[in-house]
Amino acid sequence: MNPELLIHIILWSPLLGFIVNGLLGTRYNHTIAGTIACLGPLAGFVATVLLYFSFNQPISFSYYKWFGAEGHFNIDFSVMVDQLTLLMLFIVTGVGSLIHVYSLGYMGHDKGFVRFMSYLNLFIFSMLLLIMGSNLVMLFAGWEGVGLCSFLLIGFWFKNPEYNKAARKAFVMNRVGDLGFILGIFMMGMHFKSLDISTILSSLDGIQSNDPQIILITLLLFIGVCGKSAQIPLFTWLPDAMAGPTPVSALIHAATMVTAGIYLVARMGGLYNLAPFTLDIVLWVGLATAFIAATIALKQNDIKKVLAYSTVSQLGYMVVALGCAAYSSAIFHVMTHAFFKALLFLGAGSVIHGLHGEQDLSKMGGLKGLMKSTHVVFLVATLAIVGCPPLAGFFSKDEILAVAFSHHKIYFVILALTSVFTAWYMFRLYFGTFQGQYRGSEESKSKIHESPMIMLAPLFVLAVLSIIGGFAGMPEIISQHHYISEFLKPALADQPHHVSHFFEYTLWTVTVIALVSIVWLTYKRYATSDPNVFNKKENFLGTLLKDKYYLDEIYQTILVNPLKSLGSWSKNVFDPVVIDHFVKLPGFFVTEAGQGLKPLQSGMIGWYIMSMTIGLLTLIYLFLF
Amino acid sequence: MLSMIILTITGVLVLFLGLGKGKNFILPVAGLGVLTAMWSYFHYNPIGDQWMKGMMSMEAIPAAFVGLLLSCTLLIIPFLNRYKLRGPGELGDFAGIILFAVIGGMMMVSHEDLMILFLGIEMLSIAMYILAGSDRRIIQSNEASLKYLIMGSFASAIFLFGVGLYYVATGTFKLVDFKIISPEIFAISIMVIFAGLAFKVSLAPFHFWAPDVYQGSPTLVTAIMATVVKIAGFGALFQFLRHQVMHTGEWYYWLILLVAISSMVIGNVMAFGQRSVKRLLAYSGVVQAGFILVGFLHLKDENSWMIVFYLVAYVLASLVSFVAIYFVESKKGSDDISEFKGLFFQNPFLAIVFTIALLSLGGGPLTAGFMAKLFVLYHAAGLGSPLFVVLALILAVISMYYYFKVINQFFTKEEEATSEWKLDWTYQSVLLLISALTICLGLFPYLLTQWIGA
Repeated sequence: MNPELLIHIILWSPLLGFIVNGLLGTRYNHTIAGTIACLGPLAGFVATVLLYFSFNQPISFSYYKWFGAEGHFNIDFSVMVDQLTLLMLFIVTGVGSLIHVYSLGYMGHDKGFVRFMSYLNLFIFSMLLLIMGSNLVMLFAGWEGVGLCSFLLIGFWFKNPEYNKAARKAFVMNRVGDLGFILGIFMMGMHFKSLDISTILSSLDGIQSNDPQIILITLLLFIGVCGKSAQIPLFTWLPDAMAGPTPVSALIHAATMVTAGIYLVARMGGLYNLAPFTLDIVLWVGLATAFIAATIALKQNDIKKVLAYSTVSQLGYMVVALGCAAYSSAIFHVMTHAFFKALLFLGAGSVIHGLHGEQDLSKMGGLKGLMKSTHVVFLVATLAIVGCPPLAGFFSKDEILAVAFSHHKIYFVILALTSVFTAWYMFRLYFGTFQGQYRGSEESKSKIHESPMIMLAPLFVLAVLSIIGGFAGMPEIISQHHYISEFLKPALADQPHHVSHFFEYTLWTVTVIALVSIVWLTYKRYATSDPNVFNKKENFLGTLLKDKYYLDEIYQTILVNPLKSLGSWSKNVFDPVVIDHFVKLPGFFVTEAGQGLKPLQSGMIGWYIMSMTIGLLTLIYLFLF
Repeated sequence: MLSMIILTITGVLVLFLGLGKGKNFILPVAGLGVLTAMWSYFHYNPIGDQWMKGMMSMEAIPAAFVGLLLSCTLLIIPFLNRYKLRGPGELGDFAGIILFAVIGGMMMVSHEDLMILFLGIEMLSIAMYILAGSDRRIIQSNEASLKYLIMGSFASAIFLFGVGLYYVATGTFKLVDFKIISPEIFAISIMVIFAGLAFKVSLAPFHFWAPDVYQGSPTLVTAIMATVVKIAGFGALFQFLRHQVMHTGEWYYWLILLVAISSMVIGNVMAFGQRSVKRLLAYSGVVQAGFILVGFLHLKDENSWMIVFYLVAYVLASLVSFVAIYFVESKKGSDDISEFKGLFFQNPFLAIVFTIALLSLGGGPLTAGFMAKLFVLYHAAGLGSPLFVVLALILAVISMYYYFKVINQFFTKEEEATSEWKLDWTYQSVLLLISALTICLGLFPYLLTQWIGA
C-alpha cells in the first residue's frame, strides 16, 4: 500500500476516535463507544505493520504550511517516518492498543468510561504527533498534548481533591521542564535558522566539540527531558501520578509518555555528540535517578508506588545509556521496558481490580491460588524487569551495563548496585502479593475474583512480548545480528562501544548468582502471613527511604512556600497599592480632561468655525514658517 | 461612466416610484440599480480607461473604493424598508437622494481633476444636508441639517480656496502632468485642500460638526454619514494625495502625524463622558479617522490595501452599530446609554452583533478591527515612529473603556422584568452577514488584502 496513506491512517485514526467519542460518545452505549475507541490505535497498529513491510527509506511530507515569516522561517505541519519513528510507532500503537482493550474491562463500570476512552485516544494522537513530527514545533505540540492528556487522566476522578492535586503537581513540574525545552527550541531557531530536525542534524558539520551555544541548547533540552521523563530533580510528580486509573499509569506513566524525553535526546543525538560536557551531566543525572528511585522503592507499600519508583529508576537506566551516547541501547530498553512495565502495571491493575481497590501490600499475600493467570504473567514481568536470562529485560539491561562499563567502572558499579535493589524490591513485591498467606480479613478474601478475559488477553500478549522481546537485540557473543541497533543505525548517531567477551560472561554469571540469592532472601522474608513485616518500625535509613528522602517536603519549603508568600504579597500589597493606582490614574486624567473640554463642544456654530479656522492656520503656520 | 448613468436613471426612477403607487418597488429597484451599477463598473471599464477627457479615471485604486462604496450602499438599502410606512420623509425621495449622494461619492474617489472633485463633494454634501434634515417634525433634525449646511459650506469654501491656490501654483486643475510654478503656494494649497477634505471625514480639528449632526439626524442617515461619506472622503483624499505626495516636503509626514494624533486624542477624550451613544460613536469615528490617516504616512499606491482594509472594518462595524442604535431608539425613544440596559435579555441577537461591532471598533482580537489597527500601526512602526505607535496603542486601549461601557449595559439585568422583542428576519440576516464578515476578516485578513492587491 501507499506509505503516505498508511501514515495518514496511523496519525489521524486516534484523533477521529477522540472526536467521534468526545462529541457523540454519550449518545450510544459503552460497547459501541469502546469499540470505536479501540479501533483508532488498532488501525494505527495494523497500518504500522504494513508500513514496516513496505519501508525502505525515510518518508517525510508536509500537510500544509503551519505558520512562518515569508521566505525566512517556515514551520510546516509535516511528518517524517524513519527507522526510529517506526520503532516508536510499534510501541505506541501496539502497547497502546493492548491497553485500550484492557481498559474496556477495567473501566467498564465507571460512569466516565466514554470520557476516559476519548482521553486515551487523544493521548495516542498527541504521542504520534510527538514521534512523527518532522520539526521541533510539531514535536513540542505533541509534547504538550501528552502533558495535557496526562493532566486530564491523573485527575480523571476529579471529585477527589487529592487526585486533582496530583494532576496539578504533574502539570506544573512538566511546565518547568517545558520552559527549558521551549527556550532550547528558540535557541536552535536562532542558531540554525531552522527548526526542521533533519535540517538541524545535517548542518552540524564544522561545529566544534563543546561549543558553548550547543552546550546551552542541549542543556535546555535536557531540562525538558528531566520534566517529561521524570529525572532528578523533577521526578517527584511521577509517583503521585499513580492517582490516575491503572491503565493510565501503564500507558502514559510507564510505557510511552515518559519515554518521550529519551526519544528527544536520541533524536537529537547528533547534537548531543557535539557536547560531551552535556553528555556527562546527562549520565550523572541518570545514574543518580536510577539509584535514588530504586532505594526509595525498597520501602514502599503501595504496589503502584513501587512500580512508579521502579519506572523512574528504569528511566534512569535509559538516560545513562543516552549519556554514554549509546542511543540505540536506550531505545532498545525503551522497547523492552514498555512491554514488561505495561505488563506489571496491568497485572497490578488486575490485582487491584480483583481486590476491589486495595493497593496496600501489607493487606495482600497468597494470591497465587486465587488469581492464577495474573500470577503467572506478573511473575514473567518480574523476571523480565530484574534481568533474568533470557527474558526481555536481561538483554537490554545487560547492554546498558556493558556500555556503562566501557565508559567507566564506577558507572557500572552504581548501576549494578541499582540492579540488585531492583531485584530486591521487585521480588519483595511479588512474594508479598502472590506468595505466603492472605493478610486481609476473611470477609474480603471471599470477594476476591480473577479478572475477566478482556483484561487478561492483553496481559498474555504482553507476557509473550516480555519473554521474547529481548531477542531482537542479542549481544554479539550470542548472535552476529543485533537486529535493533542495525535497524536504527541510519536514524541514530551512536558512538561505538567495545566490551570484552570475558566481561560479558562474568556479568551473566554474576547476574544469575545474585538473582538466585536475592530470590531466596526475599522469599524467606516476604512470603509470609504476618502483615507486620511490611509495617514494622524502621531505623533511620529505613524511615528516610520510606519518606522518599523528604524531597517533597524540601521542595515545599524551599520553592513552593516562598513562591506562595510572593503571590500573597502581590495580591495583598502590590496589586491594590501599586497596580490599581497606576491603572486608575490615566482613567482619572482622561475623565477629567473630557469634563474640562466639554465646553468646547458648545453647539455654537460660530465657535466651531472659528476653531476650524484657527486649526487650519496653525497647521499652515507650523509647517511653512 | 456607464455605472453612474445607471445610478442616475435608477435615482430618477425611484423618485417617480415614490410619487405613484409603486412604493413596494422602491427598494428592490434601488438595490437592483446599485447591483447593475457595480456589475457594469467592473465589467465595462478596462483599467486605465478615462472619461470626460481625463477628468475621471478607472484605475485599480479608485476601483477598490468604488466597490466598497457600492457594496456599503447595498447593505444599507434593506434597512430603509423601516421608513416605508412611517419615516422621516417620503421613501422615494429618501432612496433617490441616497443614490445621488453615492454618485457624488463615486466622482470624488475617481477624480483626476479638482473640478470633478468639487462637483462630487457638492453632490454628496447637498444630498446629506437634505437627508440630515429629512425628519421635518423634529427640531433636532432641522438643527442638525442647518449646522451641517453652514459648516459644510464653510468647508467647501475652504476647499475652493485651496483649489484656487492650486491653480495659482500650477496653472491647472489637473492632478497629473503639471508644473509647479510657486512651491510655497502649492504647499499651502495642498494643506488647505486637505483641510477641506478632512472636514468631510471628521478629522480633528475639523470634526466639530460630527457629534451634533450625528446626534440630530435620523439614525439611518447617521449610518450613511458614518459609512458612505467616510469612504468617499477617504477615497478622495487618497486619490488626491497619491498624485501630490511626491511634490511635498518633509512637512507632509508631520502634517499627517499631527492631525492623526490630535484626532485620536481629542476623539478619545471627548468620547469619555458621553451618555448619548450616537455622540459617543461620533467621537469614536473621529478616533477611527485618525487611525485611518496613519495609513497615509509615506503614501504609496501599494499602501492602499491597508486603508481599504481599515475602511472595510470600520464601515462594517459602524453600520451594525448605528442600525442597532436605530432599532433600540425606535423601541425606547432615545439613544441614551441607559436605554441599552439589559439588551441581551430582551433581544440577544441584537446585543451580540452590537457587541461584535463595538469590539471591532475598539480593535478587539479576532475581529476585523484588530487586524486593521495592526496593519496601520505596523506600517507606522516600519517608518520609524515607535513613540507614535506606543501612543496610538495606549489610546486604543483607552478607547476600549467607553466601548465596554456600552457593552456592559447590554449584559446588566434590569430590576423589573422586560419583554423580549425580535427583529424581522431580513434585518437579522443582513446583520448576521456583516458580523460574520467582521469575524471572518479578523481571522483571515488575507482573504481581503490579497483580493485588493489583485
